[in-house]
Amino acid sequence: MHHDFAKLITENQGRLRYIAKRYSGAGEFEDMYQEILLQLWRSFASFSGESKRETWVYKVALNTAFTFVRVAIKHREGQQTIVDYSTGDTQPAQDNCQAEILNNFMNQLTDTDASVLMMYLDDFNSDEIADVTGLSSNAVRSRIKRIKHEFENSYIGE
Amino acid sequence: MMKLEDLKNDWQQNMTISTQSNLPELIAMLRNETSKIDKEIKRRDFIEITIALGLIPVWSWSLINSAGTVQSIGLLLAIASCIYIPYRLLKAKHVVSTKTTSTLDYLLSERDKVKQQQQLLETVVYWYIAPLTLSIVLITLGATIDATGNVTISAQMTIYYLMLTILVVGIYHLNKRAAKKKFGPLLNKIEQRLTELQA
Repeated sequence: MHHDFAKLITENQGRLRYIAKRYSGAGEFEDMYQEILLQLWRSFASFSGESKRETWVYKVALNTAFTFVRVAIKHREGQQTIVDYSTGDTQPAQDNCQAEILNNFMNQLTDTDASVLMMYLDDFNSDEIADVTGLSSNAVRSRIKRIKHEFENSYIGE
Repeated sequence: MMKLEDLKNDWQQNMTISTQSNLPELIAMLRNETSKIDKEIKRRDFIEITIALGLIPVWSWSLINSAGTVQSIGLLLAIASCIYIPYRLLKAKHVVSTKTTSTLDYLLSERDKVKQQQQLLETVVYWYIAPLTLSIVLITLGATIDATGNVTISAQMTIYYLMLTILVVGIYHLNKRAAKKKFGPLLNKIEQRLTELQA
């Protein structure tokens, strides 16, 4: 189980950190990221493998982020936190121009639309996005269409 | 014109870059944190149940040696409260919403759960404070009734009832405020997400 969980975290670290970054308020990133990891760990035993791993990761991470209120874990000064262990020396390479454009656009979207866009960029089809969000596939498709339209309008000529 | 499709590759590359994590330590820490939280919950439940159930023999013994009808009613009420209060607390705690369902389902069940907990705290006066206070008043009042049925409340008892009233009113207001402060922001957040999802 430990090996599988380690693999899951390794493969999804970028996603998890992005979700925590996108949905946390000022100074909340560490706590939210920690809470997401804890909830993944707690739910991991119940992961049946029926759905894609990424779908499951998105469900747990987004559901945790959407209802996160900063009370769960109190940090004690001078003690290492879960984030200290999971943060390596390098950060995901989000420093190029395209990534910056995407970040800016993502921040303009509502929380729900941002989650739909993340999964769309991760090559989820509308049924998979519908499975994570609870929206109908048609609703997902029309949201994606609208998001694409908004993006193209925002970045004409770039 | 830049299209979203153009950014897919870049996004997927960034999402799969793994940083140099200390995974064995991370997992050990997650296990520790999880068992710490579980232990804390178990400890809290144990204390709540033990205090309530532990008082039942005390009330029962007092009931056998009761000074009269008024005190007996107070003691019976205290016993009933000691059974009902932990039952109500445990029942509320057992409402769980799983994070592995869709966001919409999760938010709906989380909203119900939070509303139920908020209501529990808001109505604490009816199911916790009132029965316990009433039983204390009846038990103490029953002890002051003489053979002719007259109630004699001393100055000390008057002060005691006054202090009890202040305490009860204080607890009531603190709980009311806690219900608003603790659950209000979370409920707002959930409602906001639900509106977004259902728009």
